[in-house]
Amino acid sequence: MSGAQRAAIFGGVRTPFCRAGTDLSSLSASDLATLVVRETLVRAGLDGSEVDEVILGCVGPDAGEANPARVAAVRAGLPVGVPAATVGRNCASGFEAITAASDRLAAGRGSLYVVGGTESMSNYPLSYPREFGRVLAAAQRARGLPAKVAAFARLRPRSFKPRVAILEGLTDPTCGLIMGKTAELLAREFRISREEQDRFACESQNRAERAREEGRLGEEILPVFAPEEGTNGSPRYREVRADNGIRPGQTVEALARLRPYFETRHGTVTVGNSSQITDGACALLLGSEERGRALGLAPLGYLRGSAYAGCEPARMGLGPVYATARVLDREGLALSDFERIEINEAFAAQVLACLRAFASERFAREELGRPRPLGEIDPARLNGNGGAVALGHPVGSSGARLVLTLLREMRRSGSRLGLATLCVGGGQGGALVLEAA
Amino acid sequence: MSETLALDPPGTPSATPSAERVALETSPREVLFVRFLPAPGERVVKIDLAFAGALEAALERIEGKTSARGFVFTGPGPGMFLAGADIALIRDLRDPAEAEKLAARGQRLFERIARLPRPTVAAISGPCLGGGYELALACRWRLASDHPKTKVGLPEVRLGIVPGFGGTQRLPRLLGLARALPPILTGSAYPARAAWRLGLVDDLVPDERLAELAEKAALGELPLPRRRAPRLLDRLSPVRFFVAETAKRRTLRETRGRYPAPLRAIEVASRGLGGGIARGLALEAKALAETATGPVAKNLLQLYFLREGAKRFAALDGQPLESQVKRAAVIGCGAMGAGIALLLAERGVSVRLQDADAGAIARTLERARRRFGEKVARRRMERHEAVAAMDRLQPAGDGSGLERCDLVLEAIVESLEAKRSLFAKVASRVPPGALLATNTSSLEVAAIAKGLPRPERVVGLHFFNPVEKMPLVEVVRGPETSPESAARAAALALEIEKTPLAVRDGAGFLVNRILAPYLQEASKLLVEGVLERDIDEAAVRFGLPVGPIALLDDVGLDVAAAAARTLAAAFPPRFEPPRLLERLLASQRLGRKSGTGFYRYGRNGRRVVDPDLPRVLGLPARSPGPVPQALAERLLLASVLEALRCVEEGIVERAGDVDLASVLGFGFPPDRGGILRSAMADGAESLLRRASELRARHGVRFEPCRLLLDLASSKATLA
Repeated sequence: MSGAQRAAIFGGVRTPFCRAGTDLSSLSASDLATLVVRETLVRAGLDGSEVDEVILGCVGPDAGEANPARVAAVRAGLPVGVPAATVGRNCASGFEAITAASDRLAAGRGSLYVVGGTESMSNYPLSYPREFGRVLAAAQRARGLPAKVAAFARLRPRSFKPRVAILEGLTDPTCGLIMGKTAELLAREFRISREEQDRFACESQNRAERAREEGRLGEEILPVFAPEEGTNGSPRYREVRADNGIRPGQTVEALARLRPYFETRHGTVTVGNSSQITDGACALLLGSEERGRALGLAPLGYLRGSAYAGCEPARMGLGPVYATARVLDREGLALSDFERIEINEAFAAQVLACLRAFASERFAREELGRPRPLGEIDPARLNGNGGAVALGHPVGSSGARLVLTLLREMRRSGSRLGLATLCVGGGQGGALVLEAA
Repeated sequence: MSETLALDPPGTPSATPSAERVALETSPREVLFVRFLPAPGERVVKIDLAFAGALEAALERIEGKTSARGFVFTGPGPGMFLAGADIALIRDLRDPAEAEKLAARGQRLFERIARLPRPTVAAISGPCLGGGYELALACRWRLASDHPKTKVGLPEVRLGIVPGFGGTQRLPRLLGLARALPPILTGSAYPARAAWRLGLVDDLVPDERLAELAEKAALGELPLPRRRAPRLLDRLSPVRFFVAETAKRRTLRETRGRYPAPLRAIEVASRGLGGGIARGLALEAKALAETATGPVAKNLLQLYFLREGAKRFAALDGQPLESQVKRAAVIGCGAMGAGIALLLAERGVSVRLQDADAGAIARTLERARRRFGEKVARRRMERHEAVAAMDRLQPAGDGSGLERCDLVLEAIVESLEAKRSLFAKVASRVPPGALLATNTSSLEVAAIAKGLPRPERVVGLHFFNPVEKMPLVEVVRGPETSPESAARAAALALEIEKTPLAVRDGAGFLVNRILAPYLQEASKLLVEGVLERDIDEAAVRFGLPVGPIALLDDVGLDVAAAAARTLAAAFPPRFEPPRLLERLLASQRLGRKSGTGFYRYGRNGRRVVDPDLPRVLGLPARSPGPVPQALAERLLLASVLEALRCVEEGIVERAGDVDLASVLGFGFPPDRGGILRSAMADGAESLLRRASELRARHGVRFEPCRLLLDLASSKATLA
């Protein structure tokens, strides 16, 4: 992938990331996406006709918007002739949008894409069991009142028990574990203590707080005017300018007081050292260097290479290690080449497990089939503005946010190479290599 | 086929001379299509004398031809049916007898359609209004297409006349009196779907299939709902009486008895049901003759033409043009900016919203959401259209997006300094062809534009509060404003359904300048000891929607005072500094918005007299005394004189524009035709005499201007 057709990223913007059920909860996935897609174009001085396709990641679109990328593209004012796709790779959906566009670019199918991701975890649907749907369908088909009554008579109380998409979505159907349990498994396997996790989480919070205060987060955020929920018909609007998952003055002591959430008796993973359930969207403008020059766009950075790798679903948190190993081989790089690294913080335990696996000779030999470990990661280079523990993890958009944050951090620190990687529910990892402009 | 038809093959207009305005075609299934054609160079079909002649000739040829199995009356193409009678024809009616004859001619013509021996169908795509709908009513069936231009109704009362070609008779016979009266009395033009729901048309069909389905209807192959005739009930005269009385009471309440046409329409509709249609039509023709030659209709028709005439402002060298505004930035989202922004968004323009105060942007979004929500609830807008309109309102607190805006409209504080520095910043960022518009009401456009690069693109667009309701926009040309910029700004006003009025730059432009003397006079009367209630009542009795004191409170005393100060500085001594307003402002009375002004406002918004007012104003306590005579005349005369000055100074192109502005911007009663038309009704000499009397009694503000002196000595005429 390296070479002539590396994809340039010309800029991007994200909404504030807000805890589900708070400031952005009245906006759907496509509402959020509309805002960032439009602003990305406005800031680039484009009217949308220049774009070849809009590709967005989204894991849980609303029932009313089967293809939120298309809804957002039309609503953002792109010409209707510009196609749009919503792509899914669970937690890596934002990455998937980026790599899908860069693959199309490399194949010569287009030269400019709006990519990114969107997620409104507040609006994950509640659904009824299949049985309920079958009964409704049967009742609709039934002719005559007695037949209709008979159809409804098949309903049982359990038919009405709602299925909560957010719970089911965070549970892996192949290994039967909810994501938090996979983190518990990694904590046991790599012997990561509760205290270590809390220290990591606290650092994430403190870094994010500092980044917010110093305006580093503000630079990537588009303030959003969101209607407040519950005022029927004529809601009040509020300006939302900042991420709201950051807990100012977070201390390890405060985190230590939380009860384990997934394994209540002997567990170590708490809501405080896990990522948050969050609403947010992020969009980037990606295209060929040549096209960018023609349009007068200055690149923020380049996507040099990417890789996805699968792993055991129950150890999905180690995905970044497998994917990074693959991308390093492809690009002929070493872990030490990266001056800035973003590992998505699904769980503090999971990131810490990755760091140990990166450094472990045994892991390298047994799991990656290589004689030497990938290397140590200096904590100073990792997640400089904090991560999903503080900012939240709106699943479909996190990948795009990592890239936006990383490119901005690289520019600020004058770094040449950066790595963005994340773990994916279901047992995968994704890794992107980014180059400074 | 051969015996009937010396007619033409389908699809080609007839070549016979009588058919220039009406073409006849037969379909292969022997349905005869009667197709209306517009006068050369016109884009709508109107009923004028040539059309009536052509239709008479066409009927001559098709009556008694038994081989046609049905008749379809339709327009020349999609979006064109029959937009009604030529209004110039009505305007020029002077003699009631002649008017009655004209109505009778139209009635006879439509009666012949009603008597055709085969089923008749009106196939409606496009405007079907007034005489056009009366023709459709003469048919057996009416099919309306879903074409966006399809509008059905009887707008006659809005022009001060009753429907005169059978509408007051056939609609009650179709729907029953109670359901027929609202469309006649409101004069609404209903979109196809609404017309169908109300029963004004029998079916709603896809535009592409209109001809095919109309043919089917004529052949009896289209199942159409059979109407249960409510006529039985209407035959009972007590029922008719009750319905008519109810409608009359309501109309009187709404029109304050100023408009005779709706009352006459109720009367002829109700009495017409008591006998055969011939008698009803005769009553209707008389009512038309009476209303059409009466003063109210003449005034309303004049205003109609003035309003149509205002479209000329959106033209360059006589060629109409469009604003070309697709993306706009509204800077300053207060009451005015917000209102303008949401109208733009509603009409498909993307609007970047800029305001230093995020709360103002939030309130703009709230106001838009409320408006669009109400439109959706009233089915004036589809839900997805409301979403799209909201999406077009784009908060841009950081000022992003200017690079692609075709229009920047500022509605920030009324400070020359602020406006100039704003435009200076904006001017370098927008594309070269972008319009820079200011909503200033008190500053001169010239001063704002001075020193800017390309000042020819700076134009004033003065909207009135509340923007959604007020139909007028003053388009202000500074000395450097290019004709193209002014025309594009006027076109923009038309595109958001406002009437543009081109005015020359100068303090107060036109509307504020003619409004201010009236408000000033109200203050003078207060000082003289007249009670605010009496002043307001006199104005309302004259026909104004609210009195001057109440209007001041509604506008906001701070806003009114700012305008008054500007005028006092520009035109002393006619305009004086607003002393009373300053006193009220000093005690934090801003008018309705602060709960107190001249009046006090309860929680429910009710206006009540404030016993404390004299003390706040520093006036002696008052007691209700006799109300001075001719209050309204004195209130308005200073305005009339100022209006004449505006004509004299060339602030407007024509005197008629002042009349139009007085009605649309000031609330001057439309039935009086406008402030100058009303004042000049008794001649210039009489006006001069009254002005001179008031000049002697009250001072220089009633000084007659040169133009009035010339008019009185007949050395000049009002254009």
